[in-house]
Amino acid sequence: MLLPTFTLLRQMSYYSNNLHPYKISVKNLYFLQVIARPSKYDIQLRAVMEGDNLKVEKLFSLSPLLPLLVLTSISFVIRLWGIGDAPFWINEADNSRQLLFDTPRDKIAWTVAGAGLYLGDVIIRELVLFFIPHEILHNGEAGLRIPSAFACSISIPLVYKLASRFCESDMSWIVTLSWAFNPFAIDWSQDVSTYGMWPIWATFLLLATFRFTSSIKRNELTLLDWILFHSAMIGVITSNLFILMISAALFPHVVSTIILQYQERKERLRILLCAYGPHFVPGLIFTYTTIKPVFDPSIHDNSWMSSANWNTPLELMLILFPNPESIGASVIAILLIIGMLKNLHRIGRTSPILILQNEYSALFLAGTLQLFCFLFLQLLDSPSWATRYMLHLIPIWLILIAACISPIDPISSAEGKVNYYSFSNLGKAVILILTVLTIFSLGPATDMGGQDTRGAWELVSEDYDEIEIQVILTQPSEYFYIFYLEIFELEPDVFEGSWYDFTDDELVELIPLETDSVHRIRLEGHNDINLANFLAEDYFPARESSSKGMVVEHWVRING
Amino acid sequence: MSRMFPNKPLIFSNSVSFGLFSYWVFWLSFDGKLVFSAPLIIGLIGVLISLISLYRANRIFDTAESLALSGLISSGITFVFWLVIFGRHPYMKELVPIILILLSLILAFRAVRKSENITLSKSVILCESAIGFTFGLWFGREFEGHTRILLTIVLILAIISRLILIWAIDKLGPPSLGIRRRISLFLLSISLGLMAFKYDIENRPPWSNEVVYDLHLASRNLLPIVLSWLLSTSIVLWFIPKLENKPL
Repeated sequence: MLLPTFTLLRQMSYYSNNLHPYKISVKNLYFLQVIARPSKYDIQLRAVMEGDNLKVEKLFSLSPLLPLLVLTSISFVIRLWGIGDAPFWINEADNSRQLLFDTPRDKIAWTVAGAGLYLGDVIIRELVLFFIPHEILHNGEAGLRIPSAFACSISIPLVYKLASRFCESDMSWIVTLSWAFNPFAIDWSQDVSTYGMWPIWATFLLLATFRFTSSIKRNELTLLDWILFHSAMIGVITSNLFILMISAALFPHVVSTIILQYQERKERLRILLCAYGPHFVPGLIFTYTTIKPVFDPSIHDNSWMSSANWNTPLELMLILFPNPESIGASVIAILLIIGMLKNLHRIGRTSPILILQNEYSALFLAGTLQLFCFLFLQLLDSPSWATRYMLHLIPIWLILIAACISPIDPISSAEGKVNYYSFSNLGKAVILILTVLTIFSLGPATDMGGQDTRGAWELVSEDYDEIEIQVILTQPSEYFYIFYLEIFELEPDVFEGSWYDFTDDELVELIPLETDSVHRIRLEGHNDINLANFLAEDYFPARESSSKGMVVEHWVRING
Repeated sequence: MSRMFPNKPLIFSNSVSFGLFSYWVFWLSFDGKLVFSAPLIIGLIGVLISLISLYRANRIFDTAESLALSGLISSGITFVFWLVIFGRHPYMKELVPIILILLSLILAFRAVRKSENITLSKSVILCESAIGFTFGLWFGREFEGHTRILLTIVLILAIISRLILIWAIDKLGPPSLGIRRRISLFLLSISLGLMAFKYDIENRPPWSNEVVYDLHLASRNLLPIVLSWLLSTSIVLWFIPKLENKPL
């Protein structure tokens, strides 16, 4: 194999005088590919053995950096389209409390919620918020939503990088395009939450792990491989349980690669210890500390959530290809089945360890373990499912589908056969058409939440009289509404909240005798019997009005 | 070797006198009362004897190093004794790294004078441990919002001492203990510093359950994970050389 390599390198000088080869990959005995990077272009040279002769083809391709930058920018701009139009729903109102804290330390402390530490998310959010002017941040909903939109956009290059490991070049671009304009991802990245940041951690982890195992296979582990792998693991453990699940799914892939590559037990143990040794105990502590409150009903009431069911994979397909409604997902499902049947021969009689070592299997496990876990929870009758927890799985599933339909096939590429009517090209065309249809269906940000908290405050402000002594009682806690209190510039004499109905003692303390009127903001369906009974003695219900998912009561003093 | 006293009794006398003298200094720095007590007088007499012996010694540097080392170790033991008996000391955060830095510098001096790489190794390890411990304590306090200028000065002193040791390393070559094991010990000392920070802020010794002040919620969430990370990495780095056939 050395002879063709040297011949090829010699011929490369013909194309450019300052060509520095940085990657030489030998796919098989008949095919050799050298990718060289002179300056801003990638040049691919393909050498094919034709009998005793070596035929060299030159393939120029633009660096993906510029198109990725353009795609990321366009995707970000679309996410900004009407980002501040919709009011905060109750979870966003809860997350808006980040404006209450002055120090990053407080933000780190109070962002810790069920299922994660979200340290990286806090850092990204703080970095982005730093560049947002105070006026934008404190005068509307847009400012707080921008960090998530930005973070989700910068995951686009990572998705391309990951896709190009598994699919042909043009299919990688189609996958990236599909991810950049996925309506579900766009919607949830316009939310004041951390969901939009999860794809960064998921794709970075996958990229770092696959790079690590590839280097093990080539026996060329570098310091950069270690740094990326450990950085990804630190990102995982300081992120949340869903990302940790991906890491767990990749564990068998890493272990099987190490076992197959190293013959000596001592050597295997060394690499395994170096890779997972520093993260095992922190991972256990993290899992324990995050799972404990999630399963404690006194801390987290998850009863509002529905259970995962066996339709969940179909839900994911609908999220991936929403246009045309149902038809897109069905077409892809058919292509997927055909693609799987076509690739069945690849699995053949392979041993389990070889299957685990395969990157496709690892990606499949990474994309599906979360679904299996939630289906298992469903068997235990534990309500636990919300589709937004799948946001980071969308790119993985897109790549899985693309890899199934159009995998990298070195043999056919080497043979140089171009079949325009192949199944792979058909698949690409279908996914591209569905993506384009989806792009045309995009519009400004929609109101996804179940509650219109801004509407509730508009109702309060209509009856608010700053001369009178006013009490505003909220449900849930008052910090959910601090943002709108500032926006509407209301300064009530008492502003308190509670998750539950107030007790008599609390009400005696909260409502002074001279109070002129009481505004009560609560979620629809919440029962307030105690408060109503308490107020009925001295006050009458002047108005009960509602905005989406919210109820506002205005009690005025009798003869007041 | 001293002409006046044989070496071992001199070192013993020096240790006792330094211990007594530092005991008096610890009290002075604790309550600020200048009391002429027995520990001060006996300690000063002992120190005077040591100085006279040093003046009459044949190998003045050897004796001076031995006396300084024994004095420092004795002061350190007295400090631990003081803490166990009387509880917290206002300068307990700085005293441990200062003793480590001084020990490290004395050992470095000896290593260069005698061209001993093993001694240099010990010196470097002590200095890096001092940096690690002080950094852990300093970082924890800074994160918690309890800035302490004196601790920052000690951290800077520790870093300067390590920079001075570069000169010794240039002369004698790299320390005999491998870089991985040195990083392992460094991480261990950072984790010890972080633990010290926790008990310092909570205002309690590790064996007591009576927490006076609570750590900030962010510290409570992150500290167990960060500590376990540092300790796990430290253990892995310590044992890797045993499994190693070639560098990573």
